[in-house]
Amino acid sequence: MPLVSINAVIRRPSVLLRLPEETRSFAAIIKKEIWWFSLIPPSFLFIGTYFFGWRIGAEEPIHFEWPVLLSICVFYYVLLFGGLLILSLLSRWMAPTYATTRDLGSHLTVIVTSAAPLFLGSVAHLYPHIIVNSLVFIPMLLWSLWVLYSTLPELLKTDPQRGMLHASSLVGIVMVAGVSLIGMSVVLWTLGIGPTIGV
Amino acid sequence: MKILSSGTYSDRLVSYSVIFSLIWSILGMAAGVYVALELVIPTIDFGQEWLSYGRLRTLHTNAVIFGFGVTALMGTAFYSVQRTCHVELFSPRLAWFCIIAWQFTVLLGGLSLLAGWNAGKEYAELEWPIDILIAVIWVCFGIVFFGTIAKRKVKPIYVSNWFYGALIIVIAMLHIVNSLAIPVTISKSYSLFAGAQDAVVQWWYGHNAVGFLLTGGFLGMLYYFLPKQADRPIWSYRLSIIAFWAFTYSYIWAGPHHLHYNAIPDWVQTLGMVMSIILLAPSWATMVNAVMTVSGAPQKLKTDHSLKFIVLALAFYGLATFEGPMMAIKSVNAVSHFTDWTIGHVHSGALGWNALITFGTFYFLVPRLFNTQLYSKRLADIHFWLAISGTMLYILAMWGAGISQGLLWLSLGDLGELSYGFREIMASMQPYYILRVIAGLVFLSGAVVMIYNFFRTIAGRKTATVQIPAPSTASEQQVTV
Amino acid sequence: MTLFIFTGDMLVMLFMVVVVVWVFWKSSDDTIKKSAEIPLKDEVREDEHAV
Repeated sequence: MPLVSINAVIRRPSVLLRLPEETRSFAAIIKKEIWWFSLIPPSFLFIGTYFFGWRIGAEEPIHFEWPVLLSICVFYYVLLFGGLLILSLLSRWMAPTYATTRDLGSHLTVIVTSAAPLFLGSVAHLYPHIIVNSLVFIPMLLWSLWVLYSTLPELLKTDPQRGMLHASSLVGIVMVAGVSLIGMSVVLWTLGIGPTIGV
Repeated sequence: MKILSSGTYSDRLVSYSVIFSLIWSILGMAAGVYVALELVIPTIDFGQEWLSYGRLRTLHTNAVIFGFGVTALMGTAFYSVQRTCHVELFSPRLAWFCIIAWQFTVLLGGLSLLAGWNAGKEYAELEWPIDILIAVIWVCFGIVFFGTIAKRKVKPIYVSNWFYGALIIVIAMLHIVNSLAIPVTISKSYSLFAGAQDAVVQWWYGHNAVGFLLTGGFLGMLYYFLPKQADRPIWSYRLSIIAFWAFTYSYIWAGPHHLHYNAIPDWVQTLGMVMSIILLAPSWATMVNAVMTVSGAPQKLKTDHSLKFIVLALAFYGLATFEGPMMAIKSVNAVSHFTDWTIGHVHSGALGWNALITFGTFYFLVPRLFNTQLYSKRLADIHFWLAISGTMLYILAMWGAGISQGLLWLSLGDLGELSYGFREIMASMQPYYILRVIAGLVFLSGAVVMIYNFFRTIAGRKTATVQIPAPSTASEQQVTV
Repeated sequence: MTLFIFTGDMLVMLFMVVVVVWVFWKSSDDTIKKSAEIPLKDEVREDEHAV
């Protein structure tokens, strides 16, 4: 199902319209798709960081001891896995306001399908240079936004206008969540809880 | 039922203010793109002082805030206050003076900045002669606005007028106090304040300029134009009243969060931090109010292209008003202060909230002012996608740059020495700065598309005459204030 | 000085609380509804009737 996003852009946008028929239950999606799908970015990150180190623009790449690196990747996995689930729960919480379906599986389908381009773009983690990752990440983000706005009304069984409002609310939630994570990370780092990069 | 009207609204000056605001938006944003490019290619000032980063940056901030922003606020304030009071403006001539004189003031101010006049205070760089002009025009603005409310035929004062009114009163106070200075020559004055005291006064002003001008004033715009566009009343009027008072109370204290870990008293920093966090509640209360209002009228999105901009503006408003209090926390500020994260935050508010809500309002206002349809819905759609892309790209580029800077600057080696030099850190920012230039170009091109759309919409037309409803016998009485 | 500022601050807060309470006390659902609808009934256009 996540691969539908590639299919839609490369070959046939109409494939997106068949998604509602293929929707599975919440538990089924977790068991069959999300547990391995969320492994993709952390795996690429582990490989890339181990061999190349983080290149954030200043001269020397930053390397980690492999236990530290592993813990970073584990946290990354938990974040992605949990993030997909929490976003779908929040999306369902908004359902009465936008007259969308209350089926949790449908909400999770929307989240996973929209996030798919970003997950696939994480192949850039194989060379953790900030410019490379930014250049890959940004078109993936725009792709994700396009998938979100175009699939949500169909998947959540609502009209295009309510779908647009629901999608915009999700965008708002994602941005606030993103900046919260940045803030929380910074607070933890300044308290000394974080990877030892000397801060 | 045929209702007789009692006069017409003064709308021609509103049309002119919209056009002037749009002109400043292009000039101001173009200056912004140019200075962004200067940070990547410093030689494009060609050795000219007036093209230097130091002068052009202040031209950018002043043109977008005072040119684009204030002109839009004046126009929409005049438009909405007459309508919510069911009377023509208190003094249309004085209102015209405000609009036209303001354009000359901003123009003079811009030229003075290019000439190198600079008072050295952020968002208050304009020197004392122009400060006086600003004060005079602002007083006239207040006279027209409050005079219109005084002669109103509708008894309750609608909530948007409270926000615009607060804008007028608080900005007057902030501008006059912060600009107090002793002039030495026509182009140079010295602030009455000095040292740490000057810093506190400056950021009391600076933060409340964004608070009451860029937030409060535009909330006034939102509270009037959103119900108009959604064709429904605000979801909870009671909540809007509480939000107004909580907002005005808490915002005014937040200034010291610009001076964390600086040479001002610790209790002042803490007070600023605490009130900034409290401020989150009334800000989000308004966002919820607006989102629930729109969600009750989804079918309007089909026909109303401006509503999409408002919806997006609300999402970015939520982001910016969450990010601000978060960055006001001292431990976050320890990493974010002086970095590009602050710039990212500014632009999530300026592009995501201010520009988008103004564009959305203009998409509603322009066809209405000229009694016609928007020339092209497709161009409005294209603008929508350019606006969201440009804004997101800008924010993400600056988040990346800001976090990198913050962490690299603080990074210490095993011996407790700085791991990285300032120069090498700033040199490594180049990719982010290139992304910012692209983001700015994307956003600016969206604005150009919009202006073309408006040009084709307005071409050859005059401002429509709109009648004021006559008071109905039972519900509206002549008000004595 | 601190006491002066603190007292003033408390008075301002009291004023705002009083205003909010007074507005709520004096208003009914009907008056609130009428206030909220002000923007919707503020024009007479050639192609519309005023509401």
